[in-house]
Amino acid sequence: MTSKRRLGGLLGGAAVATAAGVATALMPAVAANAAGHHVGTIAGVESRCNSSVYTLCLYYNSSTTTAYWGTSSNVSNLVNDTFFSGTGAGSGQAVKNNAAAASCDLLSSGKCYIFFNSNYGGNYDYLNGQETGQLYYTYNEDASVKVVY
Amino acid sequence: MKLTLAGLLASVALLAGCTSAPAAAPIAAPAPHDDFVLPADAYAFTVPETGEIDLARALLVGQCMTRFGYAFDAAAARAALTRAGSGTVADLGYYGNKRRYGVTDRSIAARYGYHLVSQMTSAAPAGAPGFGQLTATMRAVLTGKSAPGRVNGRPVPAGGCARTAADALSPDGVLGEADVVAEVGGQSYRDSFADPAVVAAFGRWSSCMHDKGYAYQTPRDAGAEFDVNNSAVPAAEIAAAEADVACKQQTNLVAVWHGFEVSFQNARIKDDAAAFATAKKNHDARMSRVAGVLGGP
Repeated sequence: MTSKRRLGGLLGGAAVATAAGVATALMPAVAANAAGHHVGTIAGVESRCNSSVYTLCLYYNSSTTTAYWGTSSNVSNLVNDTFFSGTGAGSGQAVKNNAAAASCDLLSSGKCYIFFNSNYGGNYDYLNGQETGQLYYTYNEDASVKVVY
Repeated sequence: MKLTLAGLLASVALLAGCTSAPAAAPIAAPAPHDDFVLPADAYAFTVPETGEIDLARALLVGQCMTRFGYAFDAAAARAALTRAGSGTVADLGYYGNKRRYGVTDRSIAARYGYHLVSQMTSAAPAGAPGFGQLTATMRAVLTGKSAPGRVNGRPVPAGGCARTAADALSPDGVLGEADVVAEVGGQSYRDSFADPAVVAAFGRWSSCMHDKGYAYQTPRDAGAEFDVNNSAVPAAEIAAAEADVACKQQTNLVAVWHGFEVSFQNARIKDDAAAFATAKKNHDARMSRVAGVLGGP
């Protein structure tokens, strides 16, 4: 678990990870499902994700202008993935347990999921297509991702 | 105490798929949908409900697109998304808790190892359900990105048909209920990793796994080394998953872990009853709008 702290500047909230792994976050009102949290806002998909081949993108910081990583298919363990080089602050850093936001480039249906544990376990955040949002359950705790078309 | 779902959940911990009898944990009545239930679930959307919301959204997008002159096959969209929705329930459970504690179901471990059930049993819908292949202009009208000002004589709205659909389901611009439900679900899970009883149970599980030849420290590590995004489930993966489930049952880990979350959530819900009641009202209002779009009962 990372001890790095990043303020959720985009939405005015702050997530703080303590050594014991307990986190508190102040979040705006968004839809909730007990094990899954809808983190997407209808702001649209982030532009680099939109023009790339990727369907699910993760961002180093909650400001989605920072480094990003993307996939079009499920990844059951993000341990080998790094934010793409030359894409901004955080380029080259590990994606696992180190992402703050996500964008989903699906169209009229389907969801992009981000899970707390590898192999799609634990709490999860999700977005509908054409949504971008700050991670909540999986903020700095992203271990696997799944795209349901 | 009033006999409400919340009241029932406050006094009973519902646990599915666990065959060992917990010594001190509250009782286990089998959950109706073979998934773990948590107190917050009474105020939240079930996985089938999120599937219905997804379908309603797709139908609204389709209706919007037809206004621009595009053909949309609503029946095909319903069929594809109903199938996809069943796959998600099979993977994540009725309440979304099926993999909350990792793999805990012996029959799933034996057949699928750490693979998702849907990986092995269903195919993803091709194209955008109801539309088939989208042209660049259709995509632009759907997303609102790089769209011409007008298509077929109609102005393309900001955010395209995707935004139109989202607005119809959430006319006040709020995508769901208050965040108390999300907070309690997130905090109970994160705090569980620091709870002494849970940590001790992880230790017992890890010892049990060690005896079976595995070096996993916590259930979060279990199975992470396997590639579960293919159609083959190697014997080694099945063996690890079966050992994982067996050790969870032998050490009563899931009852302890789930029990911590139930207590935590019950206390939080009790402290903030009004906010949770509001969340339930918003949930019900949302599902009413969804039912209107789906045209069902």
